[in-house]
Amino acid sequence: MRITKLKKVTLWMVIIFLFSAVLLAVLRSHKIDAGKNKSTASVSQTPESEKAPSYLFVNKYINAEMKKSLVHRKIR
Amino acid sequence: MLAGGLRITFYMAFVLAPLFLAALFKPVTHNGFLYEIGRGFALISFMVLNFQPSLASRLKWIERPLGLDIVIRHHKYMAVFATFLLICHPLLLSTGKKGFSIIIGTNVPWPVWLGRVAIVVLLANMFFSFSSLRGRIRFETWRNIHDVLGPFLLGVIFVHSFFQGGDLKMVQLASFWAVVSGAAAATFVYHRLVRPRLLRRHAYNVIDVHKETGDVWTVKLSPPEGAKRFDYLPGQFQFLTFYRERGLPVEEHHWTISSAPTESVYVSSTIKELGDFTSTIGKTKPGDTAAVHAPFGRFSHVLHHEEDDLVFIAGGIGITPLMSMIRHMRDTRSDIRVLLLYANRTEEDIVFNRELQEIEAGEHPRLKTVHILSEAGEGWHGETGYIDSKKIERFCGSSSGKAFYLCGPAGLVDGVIKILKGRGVRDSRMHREIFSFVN
Repeated sequence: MRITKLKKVTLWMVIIFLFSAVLLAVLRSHKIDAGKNKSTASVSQTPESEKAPSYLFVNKYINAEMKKSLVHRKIR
Repeated sequence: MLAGGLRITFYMAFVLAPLFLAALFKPVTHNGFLYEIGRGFALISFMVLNFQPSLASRLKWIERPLGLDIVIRHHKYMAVFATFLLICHPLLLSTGKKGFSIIIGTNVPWPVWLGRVAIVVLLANMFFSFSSLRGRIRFETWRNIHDVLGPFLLGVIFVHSFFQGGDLKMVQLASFWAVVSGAAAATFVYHRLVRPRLLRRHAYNVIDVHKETGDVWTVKLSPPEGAKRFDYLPGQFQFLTFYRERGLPVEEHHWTISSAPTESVYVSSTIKELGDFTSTIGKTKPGDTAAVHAPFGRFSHVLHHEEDDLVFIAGGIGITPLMSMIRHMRDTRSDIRVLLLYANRTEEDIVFNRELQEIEAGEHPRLKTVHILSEAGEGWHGETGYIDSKKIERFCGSSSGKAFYLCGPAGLVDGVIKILKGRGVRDSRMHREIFSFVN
């Protein structure tokens, strides 16, 4: 019956969604481990904080950089 | 089947898209495994919740191959799943550097407070939905609450995720987020505001209202002048909003179409006085109008051409979709063999009694009707009691090659399904209408 099919399909759907979330977590955290051990050359090991700032924080970043440059000028 | 499978695949791809984008554009993080699962859960629940308005909006291209009852039921299952994910989300994030301050801390950024509000709103929404299921609040009250809490929840989780979500700092995902939320909002506005106005502008006219039995009425509707009546399959249902003035309530309800599509002039629904609204149905008069949104449903013998030996099992007002099919068979001079087991309390409760006798006396379809009364009067010489395994065995004989169509109170239908399964009837040979959306 359709309702039995729906229950089966929904169950499989939920399993796939949960599995995908876990898979993504494994992928990301595995790469951290790889980065820590420095065993996988192909993996990007740039820490998040050293990456270019995202667009949402561009203003904040620019402001901080401007402040820094002003401080430098004053020191000079 | 293929069309349904395509839609399910599309739905899954849609829900998993942000995970794919996250893996593609931000494959490295400095967070722990459980923390990352928490973030993944948030992405999935956001997508599931944003697809909910589309599932509930009766969009034809989603509903047609699957059936609205199935789509609405999926909407409910996914709401429970999304609630589970959203509750797990802060618990899993608390395994990160900030610990339980995410859950119980007061000195947290405002988007975190919004996240907390989202969980409270989601739980409140679930509470009201379950209260409606148990009949503690009226369907209309629940629907109004749902219409406020649902969009509010989507707005709150959008703002929360946009300003707090780590993955949302990627421009690709942030853009995707905005598009998804915009589409969800547009779907909701169309479903609840735009479409009702369009339907009212092209409202059908009530041309006849007559009593079938003590508390059952048939309302006939004709399309507005110059317009063609919508096409439908026998057994499908329609949403009607009556505009009757005279202080009578204006509410949208769904009823099975009891007429056959072979009747080109009008479309009718046969309605039993069961609740506050339906108790006013007899006050509907010719000249009133009704907004019609139709057709819906997959409960129709014409979708199963391979079946030619049918057993219809109905209880009370559950006869209406089956009557539509029987009328269609009569009008198309079908040779299908139909056994109708029709359960009622008393002889006076039998709807369409005379018409069923007339069709039975004819040749198309080859109909045999067996009435079963639970509170039969003294003058009744037919079957008494309830539809049970003995009666099914006595009247159906072997179940081999037969297809069963069931419609009526949930207790009756569930009981008959159990009996039929015990007799080895395959699932594909049992068709039931899950007519109520609230259970």
